[in-house]
Amino acid sequence: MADPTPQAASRPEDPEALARARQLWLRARVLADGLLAGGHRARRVGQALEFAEYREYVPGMDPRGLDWKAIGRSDRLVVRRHELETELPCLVVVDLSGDMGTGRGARRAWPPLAGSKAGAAVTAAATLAVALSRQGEPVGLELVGGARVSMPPRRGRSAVARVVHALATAAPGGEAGLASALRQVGRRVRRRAVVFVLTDGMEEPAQWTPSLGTLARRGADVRVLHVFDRAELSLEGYAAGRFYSPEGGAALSVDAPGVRAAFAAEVSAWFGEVYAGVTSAGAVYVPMPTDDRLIRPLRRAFDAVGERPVWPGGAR
Amino acid sequence: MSLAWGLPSALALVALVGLPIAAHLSRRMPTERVAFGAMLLLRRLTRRLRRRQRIRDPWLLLLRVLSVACVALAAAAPELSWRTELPAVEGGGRAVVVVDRSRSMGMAQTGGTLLGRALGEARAWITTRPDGAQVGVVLCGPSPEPVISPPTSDRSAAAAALADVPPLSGPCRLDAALLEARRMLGGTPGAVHVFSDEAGPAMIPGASDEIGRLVDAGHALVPHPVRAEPPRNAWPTRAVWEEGLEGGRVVLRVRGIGPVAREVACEVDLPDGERIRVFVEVPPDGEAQTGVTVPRDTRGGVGMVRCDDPDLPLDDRRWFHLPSQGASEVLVVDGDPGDTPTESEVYFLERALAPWGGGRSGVTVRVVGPTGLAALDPAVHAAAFLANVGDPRPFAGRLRDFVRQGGTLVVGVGRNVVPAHYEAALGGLLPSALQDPVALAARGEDPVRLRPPDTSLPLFRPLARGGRLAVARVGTWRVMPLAPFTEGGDVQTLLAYDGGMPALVSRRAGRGQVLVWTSTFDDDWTNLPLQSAFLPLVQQLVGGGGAGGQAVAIEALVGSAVGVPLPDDVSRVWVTGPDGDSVAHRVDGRVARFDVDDAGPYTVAIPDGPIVGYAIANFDPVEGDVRVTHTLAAAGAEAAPEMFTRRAELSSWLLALGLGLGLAAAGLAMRAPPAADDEEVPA
Repeated sequence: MADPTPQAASRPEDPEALARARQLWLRARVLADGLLAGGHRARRVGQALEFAEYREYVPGMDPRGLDWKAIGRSDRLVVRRHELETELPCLVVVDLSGDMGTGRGARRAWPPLAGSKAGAAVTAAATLAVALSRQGEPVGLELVGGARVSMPPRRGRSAVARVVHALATAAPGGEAGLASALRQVGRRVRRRAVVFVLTDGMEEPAQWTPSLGTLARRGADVRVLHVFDRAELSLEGYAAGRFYSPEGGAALSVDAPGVRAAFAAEVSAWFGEVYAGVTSAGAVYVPMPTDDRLIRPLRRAFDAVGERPVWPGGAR
Repeated sequence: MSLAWGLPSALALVALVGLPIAAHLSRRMPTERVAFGAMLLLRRLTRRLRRRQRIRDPWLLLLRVLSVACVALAAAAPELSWRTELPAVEGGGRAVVVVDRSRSMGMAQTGGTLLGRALGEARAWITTRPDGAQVGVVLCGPSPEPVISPPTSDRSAAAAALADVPPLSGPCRLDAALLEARRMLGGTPGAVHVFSDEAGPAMIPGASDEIGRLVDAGHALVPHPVRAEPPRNAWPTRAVWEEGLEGGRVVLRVRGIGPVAREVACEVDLPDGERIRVFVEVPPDGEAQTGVTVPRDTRGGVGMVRCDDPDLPLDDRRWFHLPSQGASEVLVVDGDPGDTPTESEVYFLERALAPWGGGRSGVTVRVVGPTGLAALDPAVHAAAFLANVGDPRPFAGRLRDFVRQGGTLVVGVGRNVVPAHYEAALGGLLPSALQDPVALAARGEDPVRLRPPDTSLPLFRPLARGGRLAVARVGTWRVMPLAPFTEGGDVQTLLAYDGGMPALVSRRAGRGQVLVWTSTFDDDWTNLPLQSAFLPLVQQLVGGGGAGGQAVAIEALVGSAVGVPLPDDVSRVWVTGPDGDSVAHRVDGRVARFDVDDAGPYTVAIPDGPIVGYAIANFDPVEGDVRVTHTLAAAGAEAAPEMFTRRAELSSWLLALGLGLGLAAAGLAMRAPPAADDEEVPA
């Protein structure tokens, strides 16, 4: 499949947006190549199957296909055969709230959002869109935050180009309101869809993680990529100052070196809450630190292989 | 305890405590603003730390304020002074040891008594004196006993004088002992060391003047308290006889000192040897009262109450007077036993005196012949009736003593009576001499009637309601008249016949009286025994003289002088103390005077005769209170405040404390995780 150019989806009067989209497109393509390369077990996301027929078991067949209920009824070894379903809509939900704009290198001017959690999330989302599109899956986009964007899953080059363009031109801001946003997505998503959620989860886990359950109950396969900045969560490089959230609220005078140990305990507890909330909602949890290579968490998300987060300094 | 300031103006520096407060309130906040994407977690952390901070911050402020305050106060040179029980005294001078050996020092302690402990401490103190130091010893009792005087440098002799000293049963006159000590010290300044339990409300206040004189003379008073912890004692504070059922009751009051209630076993010893046991529940630091009923026929005299108290046995006894009871015997001397009951005076008198028998009437009638007068005892018999006794002369002395000591002698005449014998035997006691019998009317004719009595007289008070006419119905045919006499003084005509002839005449003699009925007590010469007035009249004759056998009893405190009144014609007595020894005394007019030095009964008796009085000596109940209400240290401090005052400079302590508090504040501040005020920031 030929790669679509971002120009097809962007407005020609915005050259900076076009440049951003092109850069993002290129990076996503490279990453998607890496993601789909090699003899990986699940190159296709669509593992969802529909029943076709029973067959007599013969040696060499995959024993995992044995249907034990049918064996019990017929007293013969029977294998359940399925047909592959190719139409599997995929939706990428990206949290672009104000907090996502922070991070160790977030204040660098160029490239845009480089070093921030939002930058990592946008790149990962674009990569997923390109990779899924190459597999022939319809891809949609939901941007959560200050500027809401909702693009239902569509197949084809132009659809991916619109997704990449929307990602390239979006800027973090406002409050995510993860709980309500995920509930709204859940109402729109089709049965057996795959939903990728990229967020820093900076809201009370007890409030937003139950919304993932809404998606899972509708039959969606939910995979959460938890985006975080290690330096931010360890307060490395931070001095005393008035700390504030770009999303608003109270500022706090904090001696960052003085509270580092206590803060580590708080972070560890929070990771535990997020992981427990995500997995108990039936979703796959994949940690995505911004200082790590993106390919690793993306591959885990693609293969639906969850991972438990580990954060040092858990004792309070 | 009091506080003084060497440099009061430096107290103004205390205002510096405002500095840490101001610094605390105006803490500088960081100004650099940092966009942070994990404020959710920072807020969580802040909520947790703020709980800790709410506690930490006030402590930090307090430490800082106290630190500054301590340093400022140290600059003002504070000096603390307080009272002390033991003044600082040079050890090498002359000293007199005063040891309290009063009753309270007999309180039982582990391995001995309080006195034993005090003596041991005093001996130990004496042996630690430096060579050449002179020591005198005074034992403190009701009067001071200087056992080592003048002070000697022979310490072993002084210590030996304090071996085996028993406690006394009396108080310690501390003022007298201190006076003795002051005399022993003379003009050379020295010290008086007092080993005492300081118990009782009176000992130390009574010595306050002497303590003042002692310290004014330049001597030091050094108390060595030897106290029982806690002080405990139980002792009878009151034992008196009161009228009541049977023979009355002895009311007993027991006081207890100590932290717990206790049951005290008491015994009441009556004069006739009977012992009644009673248990008294005494509250802690309180008093309880109980009573024991005295048997009807108990003999009068002195009884004793003893309450068991293992803590302080010396004050466990108390004596009381038990008067002769109304149930004392009436002796009826039958001078003419008749052939038939109605011809016998005794028959009528017995029925009049004890109409329901002796056990129920309260009067025990004992009928004897004339020889029975040898047993006449004023302590046993309330009254004696001579019923037609012909010759009383063999018992003249006993009859006279009986009347003088309070007995009532009733003389009834008759055929056997010989006036001359009565005049010889009782000439001084009868109202007037008896004359030969005279017939007032022939038998069968109308007899001579009695005049109605004067019911205002105590003797006839029961006849006030119609009884007067009953008396007027008494008729008499024959009498043995009295020689003419003059009314007034000790002689009084109580009843008279129509025409004015005296019928019943009384004469007081000593503490008793003699009553002469000029006719018979049977129906030989008169119909009196057959009249309704006979019974109350005879009962009143006994009751009116019911004090028969009573000896005077005077209550006294140990250590006081007493005077016991004597009968009119007694000018010489014997006085015997509680231990049976003779007591020096003098008879002043009709009063025997002597000093009582010990607790118990002192008896006053006519030589080779009956007891006429008692002095019952007891300790003042207040002395049993062994609690410490005043201390020598307080009394000494009042007399010489400087001697009993200690001082301490506090500057260096406050400075060290201030520095320590400052270091603590610094340490607390260093481990402070600051999280500060919130500020709204627009999104």
